[in-house]
Amino acid sequence: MENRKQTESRDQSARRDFIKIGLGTLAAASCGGGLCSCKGKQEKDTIELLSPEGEVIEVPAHHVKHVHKTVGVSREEARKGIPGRKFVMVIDLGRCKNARNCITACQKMHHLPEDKEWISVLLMKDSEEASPYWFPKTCFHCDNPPCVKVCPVDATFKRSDGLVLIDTERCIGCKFCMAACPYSTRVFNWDEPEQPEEIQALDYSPETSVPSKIGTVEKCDFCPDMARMGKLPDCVTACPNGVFYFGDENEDVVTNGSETVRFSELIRDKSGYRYMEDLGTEPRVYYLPPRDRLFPWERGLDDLSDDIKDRFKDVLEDI
Amino acid sequence: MRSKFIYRYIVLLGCLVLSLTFLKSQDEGVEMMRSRLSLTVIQKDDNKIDLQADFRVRKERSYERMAGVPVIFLISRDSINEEIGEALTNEDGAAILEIEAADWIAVDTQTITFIATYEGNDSISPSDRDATVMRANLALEGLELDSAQKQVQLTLIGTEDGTMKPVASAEVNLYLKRLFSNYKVGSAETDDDGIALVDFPSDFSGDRDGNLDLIAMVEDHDLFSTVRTARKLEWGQKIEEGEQELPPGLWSTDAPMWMLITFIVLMGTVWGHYIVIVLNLFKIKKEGKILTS
Amino acid sequence: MTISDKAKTLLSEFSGPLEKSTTISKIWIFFLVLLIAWGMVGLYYQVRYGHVVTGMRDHVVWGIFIANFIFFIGISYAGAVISGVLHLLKIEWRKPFIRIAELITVIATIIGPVFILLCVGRLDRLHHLIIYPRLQSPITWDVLAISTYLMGSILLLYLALIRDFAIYRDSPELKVPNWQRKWYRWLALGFRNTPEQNRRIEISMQLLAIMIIPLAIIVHSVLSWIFGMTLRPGWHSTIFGPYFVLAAIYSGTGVLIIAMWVFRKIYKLDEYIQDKHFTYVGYMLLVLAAGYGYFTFSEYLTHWYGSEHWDMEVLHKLFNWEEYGGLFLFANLGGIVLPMLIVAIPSLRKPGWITFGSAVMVLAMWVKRYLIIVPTLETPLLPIQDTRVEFVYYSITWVEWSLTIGGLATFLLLFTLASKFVTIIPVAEMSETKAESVHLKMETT
Ligand code: SF4
Repeated sequence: MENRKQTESRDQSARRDFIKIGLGTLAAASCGGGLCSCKGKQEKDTIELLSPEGEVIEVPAHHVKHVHKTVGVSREEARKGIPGRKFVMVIDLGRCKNARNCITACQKMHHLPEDKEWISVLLMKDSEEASPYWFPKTCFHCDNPPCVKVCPVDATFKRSDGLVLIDTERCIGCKFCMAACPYSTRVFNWDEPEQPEEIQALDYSPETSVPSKIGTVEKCDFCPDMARMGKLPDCVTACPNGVFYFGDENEDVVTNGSETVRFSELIRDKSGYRYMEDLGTEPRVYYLPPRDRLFPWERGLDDLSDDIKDRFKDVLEDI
Repeated sequence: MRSKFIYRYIVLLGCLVLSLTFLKSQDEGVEMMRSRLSLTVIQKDDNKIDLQADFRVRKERSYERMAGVPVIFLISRDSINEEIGEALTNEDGAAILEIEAADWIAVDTQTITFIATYEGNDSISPSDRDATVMRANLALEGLELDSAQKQVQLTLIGTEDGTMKPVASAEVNLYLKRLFSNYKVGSAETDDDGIALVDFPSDFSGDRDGNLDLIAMVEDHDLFSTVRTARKLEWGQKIEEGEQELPPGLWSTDAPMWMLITFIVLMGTVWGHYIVIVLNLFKIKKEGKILTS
Repeated sequence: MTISDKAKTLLSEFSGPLEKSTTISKIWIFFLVLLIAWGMVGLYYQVRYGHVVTGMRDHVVWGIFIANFIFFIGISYAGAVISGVLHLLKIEWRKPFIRIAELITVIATIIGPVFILLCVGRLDRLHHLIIYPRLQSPITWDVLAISTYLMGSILLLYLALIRDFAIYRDSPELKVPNWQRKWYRWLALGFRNTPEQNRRIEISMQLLAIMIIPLAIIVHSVLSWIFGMTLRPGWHSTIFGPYFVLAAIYSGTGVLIIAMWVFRKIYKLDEYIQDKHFTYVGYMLLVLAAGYGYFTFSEYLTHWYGSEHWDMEVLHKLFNWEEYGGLFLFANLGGIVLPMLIVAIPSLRKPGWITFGSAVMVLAMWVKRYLIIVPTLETPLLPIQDTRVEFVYYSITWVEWSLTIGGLATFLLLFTLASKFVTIIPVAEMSETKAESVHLKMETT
């Protein structure tokens, strides 16, 4: 009994050390320049850092590098898809109030600069009489993807788990896929991506989409690196209103983090639809019509910075 | 195996970095942050108990989870507190310590109290929480009434007067484990024999062998806290990996046959002629040479 | 090899530019080199700082570079038509300007693809097109079609040149530096005007003339499919293939007329490129203008009549004065109506006027290409919202202008240099009347 406790506590203290390393890493990350403040990182294997408690601790240098949430699989592996999965997303338009947390969470996850979005929220109005609604738009990961069809070098590809990803180490940047995407989902790195050095030094994987590369195309990837760990994409968990449901169509279950529902029932009972079904692109993103709204649409304009508000100027004039 | 461990290690480290960013920024403020703990005792069917303490810290208007916080678990017997162990909160803010049930509570024990405490530091206030439980066990069994109808039978027994007896009128929830979360299949109340029956739909797909992971739980019970059991049943539809692939389309990596053939025929014809023409040029050259010599 | 008297006179008449450069031509070349240097500065900026220096952004992903690309491939049709169609039909009056046409073809087919390369974000990965090819992509089709077409055009040009090279080689009167003569000797391949050699050239040219027409059609159809295969309003159209082909032949003919006029002026070729030639090509232009106008009308009429939401959005932009109204009007008046009027009215059917009409038309055709690309890209299916404000509209930057002008200057420079190396009039072909060729054959046997 006594013995066991001792080993346990030794175990624990080992783990506590490990946490300190974590804290130290944090300190490195939060001092802005990251590695810049570390002296003699070449000669020494350890780095001195300041912990939140105010004590100086030593941390192995190679730990500081892991600044991204996950470690991506290799480029070859990333082409295959996660076996047995078929990812699907459902977006409940009745709940969105343009809180834009999905956008910022996505930017944080993929280390994007503030003005580069992989998710956007549009203000839509279907007919003269209908009231406007907010329309979050991710990549639709179509089953008949027009963008993949046109890629001359197989840089963007469709996987068995339904995802459409891009290998930006192969992409030649012809932008044909951007012209072909009917939903204007893809974004281009027009100049050298603004990312911290430690992010740029990471090993690239199409599953993490990190780091960005100049002259190539990128877009929402449904975070397969998180799915491999059984975790939801950050946009899903970041949404305060549970707008995004994500899951595996094979399992027939989707979740927005707090509710878990059957995918087929949700689509059947709430008349889920796919945007512009008539284009034949067969998106993997479903929308639930904007019924039973949680918020009046005007609420979506509150708390927007002027920059963002400007983006909706033209639509607001029409409404 | 080793690489897997390192992988996890790195992942956890990454998570810590992110979640602890908050801690750091808060640290600069002078104000103390209030913390809150909640404690769930999860009695599992393998005679083990999970002590799960959820740690939250108050930031602005809401309580937020925090990782890397050391939580100490104690057991209180006859008003003597004895330390069981310590665990760190994960990125969901939960510190989980698994203990052997038999080591700490016997069946004939009436009640037992567990305590979770956090000692606090310069910026976060200390907090603690206790939970009092009795020993209980939940069993899960699949019943195939006929090929179409399936039921799950859940049996709950708990300590009463020093022995384990069926527990009546307890609500049991049945969950199906899915990739990102557990789907609630249904719930039922136990009868006098401690048995609850939940209908199970037959159209869920399982893994490659058709296995489904079922989890049944009595949650937040007055006497037993949480009692939990899990079992794999071969009730799902099989997912064949071959079926996974979408039928090939224009978007596939390889071009359709007709396109390849058209291409080869067209290019072959044209470039074939070019070759003939270039050969002609060489012949012209040769003829010229013969002529001059 | 004996050279006929006619060829001798022809050569002495046209050998001027080959033998020495005038001051004007030197200044001209210097000027072109300056423009190209300016283009290089633009290129440096684009390579150094990425595509931010262009006006292209996430919505308008392609800009004038693609318009230039279509334009240059379009004018390359000059040669394909003249040497293909007119050769097969054995139309005699094509002879004086056949070389001009073929030079336009080859040079334009070299310049055109450069512009598509300028749209590529990672030039350092161009080899991926070969190591990871994907046959389903219209870009792959384009790469294959254009390289095949270029190869064909070069062969055609060269085959026609062999006899001339032999003449240059064997004319001691031609005062060219030694190295140049060496080149002629090498390029003439030991052509001795034997019936066997003549037959080989004849057969090869016949083969190429037949192939170059379908090839040209394929090249421009494939080009149009880059747009036609996408699901975008204004692009997703079944007539895009033939529409582009016709537009290309049309603009190619226009450039040919301009070149004929310019060379006639500079080299005083009035005797060979006569007014009647302008009239003939003018008639061709009229027919092509009518055809092109018909396609244009049919394209917009269908969209307007059907008035689908997205098509209408694009049409509104084209008919709106504040957006593309002015350019659209110019593209149609200058590109269709004006050339037709000039050729149709007998008093205007003069080389000067026809050339003027062609010049306006060629410019209008460039504008038209711009109008195909940009308004459509500014009208995606999902409204442009929630995007950086500067991403909404396209505007051409100085880098794009300098590269465009640099490209044009390169085209002109290559043309000028070519005209200093070979006679602009095909000497051998011109000197060949039927009687003479019989005579030649007898001589050699
Ligand atoms: S931009 Fe890249 S991913 Fe897109 S089509 Fe071109 S090569 Fe493929």
